[in-house]
Amino acid sequence: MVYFIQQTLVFAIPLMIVALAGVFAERSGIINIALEGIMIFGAFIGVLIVRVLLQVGIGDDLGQLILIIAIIITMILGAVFSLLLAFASINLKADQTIGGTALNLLAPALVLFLVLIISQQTTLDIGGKTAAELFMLFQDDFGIDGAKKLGVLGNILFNKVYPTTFYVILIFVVLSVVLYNTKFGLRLRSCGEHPQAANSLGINVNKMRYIGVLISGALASFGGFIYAISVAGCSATGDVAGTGFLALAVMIFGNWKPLNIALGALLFGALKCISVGYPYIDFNGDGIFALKDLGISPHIYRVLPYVITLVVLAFTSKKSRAPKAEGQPFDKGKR
Amino acid sequence: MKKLFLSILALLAMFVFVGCAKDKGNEYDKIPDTMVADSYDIAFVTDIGQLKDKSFNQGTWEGVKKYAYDNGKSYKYYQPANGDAATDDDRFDAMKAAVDGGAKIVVCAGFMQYNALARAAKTFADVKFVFIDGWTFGAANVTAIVFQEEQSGYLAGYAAVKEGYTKLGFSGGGGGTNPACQRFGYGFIQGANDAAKELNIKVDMKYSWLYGAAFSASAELQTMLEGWYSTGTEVVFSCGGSMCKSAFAAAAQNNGKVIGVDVDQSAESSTVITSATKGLREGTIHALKQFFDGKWEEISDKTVNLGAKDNAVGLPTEEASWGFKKFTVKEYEALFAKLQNETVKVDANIGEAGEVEAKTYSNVTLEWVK
Amino acid sequence: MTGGLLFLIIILIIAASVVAIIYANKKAKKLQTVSWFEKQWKKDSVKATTSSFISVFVGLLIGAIILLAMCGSVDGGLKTGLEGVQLIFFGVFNIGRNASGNLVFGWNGTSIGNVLFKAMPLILTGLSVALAFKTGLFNIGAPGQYLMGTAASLIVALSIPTTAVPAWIVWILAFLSGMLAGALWGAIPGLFKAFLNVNEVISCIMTNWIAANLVTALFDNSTGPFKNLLDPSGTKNFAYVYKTTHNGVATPSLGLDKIFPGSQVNAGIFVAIIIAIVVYIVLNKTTFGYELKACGANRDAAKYAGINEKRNILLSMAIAGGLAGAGAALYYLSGNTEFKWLTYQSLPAIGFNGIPVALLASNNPVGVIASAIFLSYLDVAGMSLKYMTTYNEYITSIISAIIVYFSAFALLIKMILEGKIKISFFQNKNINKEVEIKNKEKPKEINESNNDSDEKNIANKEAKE
Repeated sequence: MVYFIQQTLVFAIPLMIVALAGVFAERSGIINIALEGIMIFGAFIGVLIVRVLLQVGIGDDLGQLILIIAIIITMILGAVFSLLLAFASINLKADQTIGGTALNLLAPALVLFLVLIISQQTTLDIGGKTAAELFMLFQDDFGIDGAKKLGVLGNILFNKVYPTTFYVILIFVVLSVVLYNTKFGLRLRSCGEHPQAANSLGINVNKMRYIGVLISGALASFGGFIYAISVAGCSATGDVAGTGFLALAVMIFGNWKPLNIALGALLFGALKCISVGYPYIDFNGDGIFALKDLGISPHIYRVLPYVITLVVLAFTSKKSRAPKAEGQPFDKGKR
Repeated sequence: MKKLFLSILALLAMFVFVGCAKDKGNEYDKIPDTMVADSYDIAFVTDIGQLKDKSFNQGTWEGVKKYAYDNGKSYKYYQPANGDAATDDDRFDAMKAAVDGGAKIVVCAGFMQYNALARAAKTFADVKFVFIDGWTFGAANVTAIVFQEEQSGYLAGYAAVKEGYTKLGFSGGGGGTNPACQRFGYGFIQGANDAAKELNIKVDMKYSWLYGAAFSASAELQTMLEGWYSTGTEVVFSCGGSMCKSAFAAAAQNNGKVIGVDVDQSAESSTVITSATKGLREGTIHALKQFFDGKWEEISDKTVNLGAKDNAVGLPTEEASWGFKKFTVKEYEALFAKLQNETVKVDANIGEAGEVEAKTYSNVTLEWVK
Repeated sequence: MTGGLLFLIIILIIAASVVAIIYANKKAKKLQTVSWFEKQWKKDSVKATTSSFISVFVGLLIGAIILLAMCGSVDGGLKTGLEGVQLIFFGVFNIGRNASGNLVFGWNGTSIGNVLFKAMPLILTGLSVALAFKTGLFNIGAPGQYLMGTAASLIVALSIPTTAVPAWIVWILAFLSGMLAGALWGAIPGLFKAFLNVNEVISCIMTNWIAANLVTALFDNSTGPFKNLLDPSGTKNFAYVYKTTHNGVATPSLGLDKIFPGSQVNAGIFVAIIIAIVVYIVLNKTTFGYELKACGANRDAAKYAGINEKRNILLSMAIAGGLAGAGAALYYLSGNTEFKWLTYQSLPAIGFNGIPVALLASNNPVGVIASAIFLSYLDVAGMSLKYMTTYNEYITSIISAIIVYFSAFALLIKMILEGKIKISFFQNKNINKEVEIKNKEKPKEINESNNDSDEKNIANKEAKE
């Protein structure tokens, strides 16, 4: 059971934060399909910073410090990268799908180009250390004696967990509050629903949209870095296996609301985990691996996440309610 | 516009970082992978996967680099287009580019290059080709080197069981279609079996070719291996180029151990207890040396099958690479001597797909994970 | 000839054409007529093509700048950097080095043939994406449709014995079944979008991965129903499906291998070009095409005009899927390509590469031909960059991405070319500028009417005299 939940979180946490990134952009009125590209870029920057810091000589007992420095720089540069999308969509009023696609194409090309020059192969790693050694928190880091056996919840929260999980939950809660309970959040949302009305009240719509895209870029590149740490063993391969697009699906499935998005991300994470790890999931600790003995072909397990996503989307898309003014460049003259 | 320029400048500033981040590794890493010359005497055409995959490609390349560097020759590597969807024509184009670039001898890694190599050897009759992991086919300008990987796998399996591990795993690449990996795996089973027989115990082994078709690390592979470790597997033999990255990550998170492949991977991760190596570097260097010393005739159109008797397979015995506490180097060397004088023989006949996995073994319970 | 000489020649040609245009315009103004160039310039398509060319040029330029900026980190320094720049622009024409170690350029039949061969499936996947864009849909499911086309065409091509049926009939059957499989697979996201309002991007991505797993299951070497089509020969060892030449089926080369010796090109490129022209005709000259475009422009308006927009969305996705499947069929029926069936972890890149092709061509089917050939050219130039210097081939992917980014400004570049807009920062300034420009235009009109009246006066005077 612990394995199941831990693996679910591994897939779900990047999905959550990147879907939230999508929400911020779309709520302010800009369709951001460049999430995949920004994730790839963020993964690269994060791994690069960790690698440089390790080479410079900051030892691995300062792992948490390295992590925080890397996260901050990743978020800043991710926001800078998303400026390209913001500029194209807001100032030049280009088709936002095209701008997003361009970023999706640019990020892996740029990353692979640089990675090949740095390390003569298409993967950039941190050279000999693993992410687990550097960043993972075990129960003794929390002050709990290493020999004590924790229950299911204890094992998930305190044993073999990455601190990024906690950062994500914290950011998620804080930003949800910001989005719904502050003046700034209200203004941001109004720019995505009816920008002309917002403009008439004196809100600078373009500036709000810029901020929305910048936040989106920062969060997405943070998500990419998390993906690199937990899923790719702290290496950047110029590819995040479609997680950016899956986050778009989670965002739409969650109807652009943060809580629903979190639940959706957990659902997809669980499905992904089942599709690979089904023979090792022991639901109630009794030593019986129920799913293994069902005799279903592994091919079916592998397509399960995608088929179930389609089915769920088929049922929930009728009530889907996107921000009204998303995708349309802001034109003061329109009504 | 200002913002756009600033953001572009910030991105370009990243390029500065690139210089700081280059590899500083072992003696082979000190030899640069790229060099500039008007013509490149020695060429290397890679197999599927990365150049620096820490095993097959990298081992062969390091041999090429070292020989060229020590002997003042120019060298360059060529990767066929289309990555792991490369066709025979793409491989042939890479060989042609190598010859056009001035190569006198081309080292080709991986048995999949056979068709392209046959065509290239005929087209470029005055260029020599070294075929690693492949067999000769009657062309005078080709020599081939194959290894007895099953012996290397045997030693690894034997050592693991003698050390006290009873739950083993094997995660191979190529989807079960790569003979070298299949031989590694089959030897691994036999070694574990023989050691278990001696100790009079039974061991479990999970055997899988999943998620390894492209010889690269992936999230799914890591999840599967974490599943293995969390249900009791103690040590996994990761046999497939860059797949070892997923194995290292999964092992580090679960206090598991990994056995590396092709080259000594103990420096890559603290979870590595040993590696089932094959003498890629030495074999390559030997062939190159023969050519440049003018002794090509001795190896022309011959397939050399290197094994224990040539010291071309085995586990690294340096202290830093030896991860065993109970199994001593002396015991290892005694076993190795038996392999050399053929007192102990390892079956190399891997048969059809699925044959090895379907057999029953006296002391190993094999679970084929599909 | 060397790279430097080639650059010089091209710059001279451009300078000469610019001079010619200026001269022709000046002469036309004197004669009070409109020069041929100005007539062409007024056409929308010419402006669109020009803005595409500008995007391409800017992209290549930025790529060259990046290469030169990086020459410090790569072996070889400035010389390699300059060689890299030459190869980016003229890579396809590179025929090696001369005795003094400089790059030489000329007619390289093999490279050019390979460009055409690579462009063949790319034209079709580009068409697939472009057609979908024209109808307002983003077909990111091209890889999945491509995979289904691969499986179908290979199965048909290898299963029908050519002893019973002539090879060319098998070829046609395999091609059609590839198209059909792609069309059926494309219809799935179409259905979801039309009837269930599911965003097509997401359903396409799901179908991509379902297709990857499905194709792997079909050819699985232990349980697949078509495992008999796997190539067991020593080197392939069941990792690949047979080449279609195994059954004697292959696209004829129709003499192209004489023009481009040593390359992989075959007559399939003609099929691809013909299909592109057919799509252009259907889109622009038929009612059906008009309906499709109307649905893309404004779905609700089309509905109120009586167009069955649900049926059109479905058909559009199906046709787009069929085009992608046709691309796969053409590629694998060539006879020299082999398919690696273990594909459940990776999607074919050629499906995704159709997107920049379509965007660069502004979704114009005939433009897709040129843009696919150009992007394949970049690909081959990248490989020659990799083989001849110490750079790697991803610089050409960066250039493609930059070109796509700038093609997003196609509308803007068009308006700059028309002199209507100057780039500004926030929209408020834009309005002011437009008002300024309008004010500026007014005095001009007064001046021009003065000119006219001057000339009229002169003409009157002459008439009087």
